[in-house]
Amino acid sequence: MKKLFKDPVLLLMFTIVTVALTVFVIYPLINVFVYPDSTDYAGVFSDLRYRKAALNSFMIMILSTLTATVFGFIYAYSIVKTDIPGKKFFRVISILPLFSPPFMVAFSYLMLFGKNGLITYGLFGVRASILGWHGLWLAQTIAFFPVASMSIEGVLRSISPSVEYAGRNLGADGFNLFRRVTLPLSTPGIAGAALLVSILVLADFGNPIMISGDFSVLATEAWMRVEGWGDVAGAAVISIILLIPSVLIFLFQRFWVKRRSYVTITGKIVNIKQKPTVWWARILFFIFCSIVALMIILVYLGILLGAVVKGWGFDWTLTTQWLTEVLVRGKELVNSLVYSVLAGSISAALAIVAAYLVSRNRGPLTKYIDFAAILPAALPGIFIGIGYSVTFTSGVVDLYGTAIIVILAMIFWNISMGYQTGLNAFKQISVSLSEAALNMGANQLTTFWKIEAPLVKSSFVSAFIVSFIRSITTLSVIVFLATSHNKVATFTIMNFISDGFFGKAAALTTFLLIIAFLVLLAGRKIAGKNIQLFD
Amino acid sequence: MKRIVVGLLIALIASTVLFAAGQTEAEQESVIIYAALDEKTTQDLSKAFEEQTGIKAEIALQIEQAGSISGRIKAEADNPRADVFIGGNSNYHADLARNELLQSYRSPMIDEANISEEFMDKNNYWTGWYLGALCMIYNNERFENEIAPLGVNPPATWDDLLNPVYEGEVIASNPATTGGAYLMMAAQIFRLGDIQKGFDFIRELDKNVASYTKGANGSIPLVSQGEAIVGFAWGHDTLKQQIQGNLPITVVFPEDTGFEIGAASIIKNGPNSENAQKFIDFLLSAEAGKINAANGYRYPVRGGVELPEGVPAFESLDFAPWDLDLAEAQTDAWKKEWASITGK
Repeated sequence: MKKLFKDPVLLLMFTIVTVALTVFVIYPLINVFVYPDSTDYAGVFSDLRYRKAALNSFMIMILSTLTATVFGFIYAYSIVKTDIPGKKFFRVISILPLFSPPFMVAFSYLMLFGKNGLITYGLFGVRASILGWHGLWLAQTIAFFPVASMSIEGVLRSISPSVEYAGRNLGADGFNLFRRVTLPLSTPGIAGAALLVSILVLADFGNPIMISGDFSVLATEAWMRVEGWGDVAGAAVISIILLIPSVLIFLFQRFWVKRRSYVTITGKIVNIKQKPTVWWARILFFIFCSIVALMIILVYLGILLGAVVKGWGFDWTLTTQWLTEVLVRGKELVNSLVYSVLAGSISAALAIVAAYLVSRNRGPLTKYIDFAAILPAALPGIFIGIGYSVTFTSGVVDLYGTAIIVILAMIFWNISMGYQTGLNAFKQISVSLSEAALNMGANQLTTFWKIEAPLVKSSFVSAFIVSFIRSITTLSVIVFLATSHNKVATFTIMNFISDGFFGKAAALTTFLLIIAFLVLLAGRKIAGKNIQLFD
Repeated sequence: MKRIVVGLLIALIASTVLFAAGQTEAEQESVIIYAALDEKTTQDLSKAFEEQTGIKAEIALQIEQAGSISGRIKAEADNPRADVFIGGNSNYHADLARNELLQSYRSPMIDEANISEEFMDKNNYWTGWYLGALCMIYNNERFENEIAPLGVNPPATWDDLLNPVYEGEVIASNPATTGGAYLMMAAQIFRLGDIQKGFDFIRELDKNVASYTKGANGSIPLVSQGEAIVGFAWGHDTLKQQIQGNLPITVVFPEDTGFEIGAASIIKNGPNSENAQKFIDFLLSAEAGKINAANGYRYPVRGGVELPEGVPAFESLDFAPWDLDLAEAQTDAWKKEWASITGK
């Protein structure tokens, strides 16, 4: 602590980070619990409807997590451990959904696979309804398996081929090797990925609002409490029911699974070529990846087509009407871009500073910062939205309907991502590295610029990109905060869809995607290909 | 470093002073509006009011979700920022009145223009200024291809929805999630003149229902999309979307249909309560009615207002007897009964 008062810059950083996290993470969190009174709690708890919604939420969480994780595992396994053709293509395709609004899958599938869907009915003449839990299951599987795939890919890569070689030499082969060596080694990683996915599924608002029909889940019920009955307090209670399992899963993932992850230590990385895959397995893996990739490509084709035809399902005349109309209106797109750039950069900067403080200092205060900076990763978007709406829209600080409240919510909802990236970066910068530089005659400043800054720069860029993308694509966070003054594209898209204006909704989604991908490309240019996205 | 800090401080102070100056400048006569209407209607109303009265009508909030606005007014209970809340069905306003957040006011225009008492709150907490009628919709192509060949005529009455040919092809709305859908359910009870008969209808209808949407108008996109063949929704929203979006659906106003009253109310202890009264008077004028009808396809409560093309004359509609107070009083009981019947 003495050090703190000697170093005013350090003191300032500690103060800013601590105050910011307390006011914008901890305080709204507590407020959601305090805001409803006992009748609000009793009203929601005694209502069978919400008991059912809670059950539904958990049911769909288990289903979607299961399929998304299995899909993610097979997909990642195909990319890392087999020699199917087109691996690079499959990899790129599976990354796309991570940079798109999550509700996009449901929106597109509604147009493609509904009773009058272009594919189900148009192509195969099948009239099958997609509304309900099964449609939601499909949409969430496709929307969230990339998260599992990406995370499992990392795990599989960390299993050195030499371990598998050793297995082979000891007599295991093919499936046996997979069962006895690869799978056990990656189990903790798979469990971690599954838990990560389950938090996302539980918090998912966009897919159920579009496609779940009358299968109700907690996230959408909370919104309907406000939208249908003007009852913010009731919505707060529902969001608490959603928060508890989410936090429990998160803690479990952090403290249980992470401790059980195996690292195969093999000394130097040996570049051993993998044994070729058996021909029939190769075909099976290839077919699987192709189908999954097709399901993703269809999402985008559906949106693009929806944006340029006059009336989906009944008038296939091409038109630029929707594209020009949403571009001329434009306000939402500009808001989306400006808010997300601001939120992304402030969030990344604050996160990196917090990571720096935590990794270079010890004490109760750093433990607190660590806790508060990690916590938002466990908070469902609607919880943040409700938290901000009950905390910062009355009394002294009334930010209702302002850009500030939306930007703040985006900053602190995303801070955990940048924080994790930052922690990893500072871990890599060994103190001995800078000491070595100093011994070679470099001064303090040179050491910082030559050694620490380059590493921090790329983690700043990747933190920025992640929180920018999450900000520009979120619906759940802003739905409780949006008004005519600060509305963003995702909110307008939701309204377009509920009004039946599919063309406008698809056109606006298209522009949103273009912006997101451009920023991603720019980020990769600046930071190189090694930016770490989505832990 | 020092220079930056000083610079920032100066900027901060300057902006605060400018902000304060801006605040005092706005002392002109004004009225602050929260509107649960579409953007264009709101702007046109505000402009017309300014021209007519010289009072500045400031749109502080415009969002089509009336629930969001009602939530906002509740949050501001201690320090109301707005004067009037316009749009949204009377449910939302009645709820605010129950929370003692509204100021009662009876506009002289009601008697002047001879507007029916049926559309007004008995305690004058809210004023009805437009109506939306409940309509049925069907998907043209799917009806022609799948239902017409069976020798079935297009749906014209509520009971037509019970025809087994529509099994799994009806989109209804969920009264538990929104007040608008609750009114749609109440419409069946009022139409049949008996609570038991009303719920019998709902039980029968449930056999055909594919999905109960969360929003009151959830059937519009789904029926247009062909996800189901028939559904029901608010007529003004449907007509607007059908005409502007060129949707492939037909709109039918059945006999004995239900309606919602679009209301306006004065927020208690708002900054400009007197001007708020003038704004309510204005909403009942022919001019405001015309703006509202032209942009939103809603029926003004006063007669003799020109309606946009494609909107059937108000006189051609046939409404069921209506008892809003009973619907209000029975909200919890009826919602529960509905849930036990549908299992939703």
